[in-house]
Amino acid sequence: MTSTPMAVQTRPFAVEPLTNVMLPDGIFDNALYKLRIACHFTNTSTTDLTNVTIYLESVGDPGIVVTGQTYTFATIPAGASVLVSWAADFRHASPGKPLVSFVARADGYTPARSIRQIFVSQTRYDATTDTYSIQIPEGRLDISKVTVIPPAKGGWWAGDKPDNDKRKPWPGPYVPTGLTMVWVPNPAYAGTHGELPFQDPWWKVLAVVVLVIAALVGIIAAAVGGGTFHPGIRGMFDETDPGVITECCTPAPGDPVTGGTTIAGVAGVVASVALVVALDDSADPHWRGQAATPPRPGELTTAERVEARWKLLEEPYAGKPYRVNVRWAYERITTGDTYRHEVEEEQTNIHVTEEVTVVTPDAVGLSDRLWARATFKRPDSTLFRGPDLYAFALFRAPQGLYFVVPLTDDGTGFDDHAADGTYTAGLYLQDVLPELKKAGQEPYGTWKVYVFAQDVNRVAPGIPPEIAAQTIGGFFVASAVQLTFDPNLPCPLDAQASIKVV
Amino acid sequence: MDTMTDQLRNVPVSRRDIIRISGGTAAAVGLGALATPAGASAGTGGAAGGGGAAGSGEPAVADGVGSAALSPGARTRLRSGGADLLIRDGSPHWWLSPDIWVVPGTDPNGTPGTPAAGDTAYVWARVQNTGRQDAFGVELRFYWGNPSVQMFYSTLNLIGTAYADIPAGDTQDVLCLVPWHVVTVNNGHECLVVVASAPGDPPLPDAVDPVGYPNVAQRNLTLASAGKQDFKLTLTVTAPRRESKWVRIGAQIGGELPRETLKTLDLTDSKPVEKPVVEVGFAEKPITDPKEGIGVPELELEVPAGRSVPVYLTIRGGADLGAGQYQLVEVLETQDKQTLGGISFAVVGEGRR
Repeated sequence: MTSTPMAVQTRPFAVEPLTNVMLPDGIFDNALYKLRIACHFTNTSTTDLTNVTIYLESVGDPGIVVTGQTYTFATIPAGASVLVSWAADFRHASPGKPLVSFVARADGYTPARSIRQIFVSQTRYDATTDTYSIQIPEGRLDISKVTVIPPAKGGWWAGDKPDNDKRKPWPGPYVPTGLTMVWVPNPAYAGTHGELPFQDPWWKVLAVVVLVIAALVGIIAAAVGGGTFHPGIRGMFDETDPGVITECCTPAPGDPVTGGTTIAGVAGVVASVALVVALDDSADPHWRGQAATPPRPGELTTAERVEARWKLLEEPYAGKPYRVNVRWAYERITTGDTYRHEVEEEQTNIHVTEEVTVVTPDAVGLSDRLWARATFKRPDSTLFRGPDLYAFALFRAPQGLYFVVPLTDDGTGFDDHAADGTYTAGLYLQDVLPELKKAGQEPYGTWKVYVFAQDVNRVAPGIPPEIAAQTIGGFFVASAVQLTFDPNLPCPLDAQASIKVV
Repeated sequence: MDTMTDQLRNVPVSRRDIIRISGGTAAAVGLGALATPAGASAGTGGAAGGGGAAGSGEPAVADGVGSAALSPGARTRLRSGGADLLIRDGSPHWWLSPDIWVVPGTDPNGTPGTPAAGDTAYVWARVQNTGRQDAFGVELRFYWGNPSVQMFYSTLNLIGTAYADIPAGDTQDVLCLVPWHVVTVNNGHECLVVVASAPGDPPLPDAVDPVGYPNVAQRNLTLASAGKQDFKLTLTVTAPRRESKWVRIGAQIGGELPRETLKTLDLTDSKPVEKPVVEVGFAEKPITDPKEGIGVPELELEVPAGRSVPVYLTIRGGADLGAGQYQLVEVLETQDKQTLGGISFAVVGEGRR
């Protein structure tokens, strides 16, 4: 027998389980204790595979404790990529690039093992210096002087604002408008360019990891309290960009955990990635600053500072090519001198979709299933397909209870065809009746469907770091929640579709 | 594996079932115990162990949330209990398990071999499911220990864990991805123990007992490079926590390793040399001057309860071993003619390693 033709072809990514959002570029961080190790497992053959079992075998860091679990698929079509994930505790994880092995077995084949690296960082906050630090093997990035556009006064609730006002509003979202990043390479290096973080993403990706973690920590704390993240992490920023406020959605009444945290998490990520947009995907300020300031022979670079301030020329809509005017100054500190380089330019979000289409049935009966089919078209008119996206939908019951449902393009379950660019989410009404009953809600009426999608970093292992770095995953290319700076606009949480249950 | 029959249920009962039912004391349990209700529950307990996120046939939900990170076509399996897991013992001694091997270097898929002190290495184990039920979520624990004869879990060091699914009657190679950083103490000559467990398995006694527990295996086998200089190693002889012991430490020279065991040492085509070409000696104190000899061929010593004492091993000779030859040296710890444990050396010519 030959090996099962299944493989994990790209780097597994981190999903925060309470909010369901993927962390920037899929990077894991031990400030968030509970994360899911997610990956797409691909049938690399031209034939369908039957009775497929998939499990995570081992992780190369004993500080990462995985909950063992086996997934079974009756059939995985040829070429299909199925999404699987495992709960893990990263509390004692070490910063690094540990290996993770997965095993797949299908009828008629011997088991096949896929071994992939994941990226793990460690973020902490020092209250005395008001500095976030993110530690990885190649060095440490200190982030300070963060300026943000704060949320609207009074905050926002996952549901109607309670009459008694005892509940606290969701924290954020904070839209960053500037920060100072100091990179301390380990070790100090000679020459023009130092090692890239994890030898893959740009330094700015570490900064956005910090901002997203800060956003998520605030949301997690508001939803379930402490104990699931490092207590040294803050979920808010002090320094703000006065004069502008961020209006975020005020979701309709709903379950505060399932729907509210997801929406808040999405908003936090959408807001935070304004930093990445401002600092250019093709080459970030550290790389460009290094290129512009070659040190003299014999000098070692001991630290690099980037001070960046930007102005959002448009609201940071996920998936839209919003523009940012940015000014940044790079400073290289070596054992012999200090070098400077400054840039002012306009940048545009390149993580965009031309069109998001969501199709649902007009009406279904109680014995039917709710379903939604979504397509995500790039500006060049090609569709995102299969493992290009990590996507999910929120189905909101008529009286507000949310259900988080995966959107997949794998030809299994509710999805008809693998990798055809149509992502499908489905929900059997009979399955959710107990939850609705428990919440005192009825299934009859109009259900709303909200669609979210993040792009996945699909750079294959072995690509040169400075090339691999130009691809960054974890951006929302489609989001039902949008941010606006105009409080007079209607609630920017837009349902892409609705279904009537009769 | 020897099997018996539970006459009330008319199903085969393995030695492992008896161990499980008895809570780990196989020798003390008679067949009569199987007629009790407790016996009927053998192999079904502990289904939730380690599988907190699993659901019975439904997509997984971690900590009550997070169900989106999963294809809707996926179904989950609980960890299954009651599997008959086997990691084979070695031949002629149990501590020569051919089902444990080491891959030195940074590529876990590399060639098996013997790591040197300071190396990084990966440990593999081969597990069989000899039962009639598929085993899901089998947990494997990989340990290393200092060179010793009888081994105790309380003195071992955990390398890491791994999981495996093994259909009934099937065999699965399992990789522990936590790198084993081979310490420089003992010049890299370490012992390995692997335990495969399913929910419902009995707790293990402190003494490593591969013979009594088919799901436990031990590899106390190392390459020894012989030549002009003596091969020296400090062995540890340990007594149980609450029981002192009188033991003899001796050696047997000659014999043959199975081909599959040789393969794990990267000695696949090597031939054994039966006629002793090396001398083996033991001492209670280090021998620093070769002129002082190599110690005695057999050492008798008392080890107080809960204590470990060092025994200094010297292997001399072997310079005449040619390329492709090895001599097997087996160091045995015995008590009242019963073998408690051992460690084996494949002595090869200088430079072979």
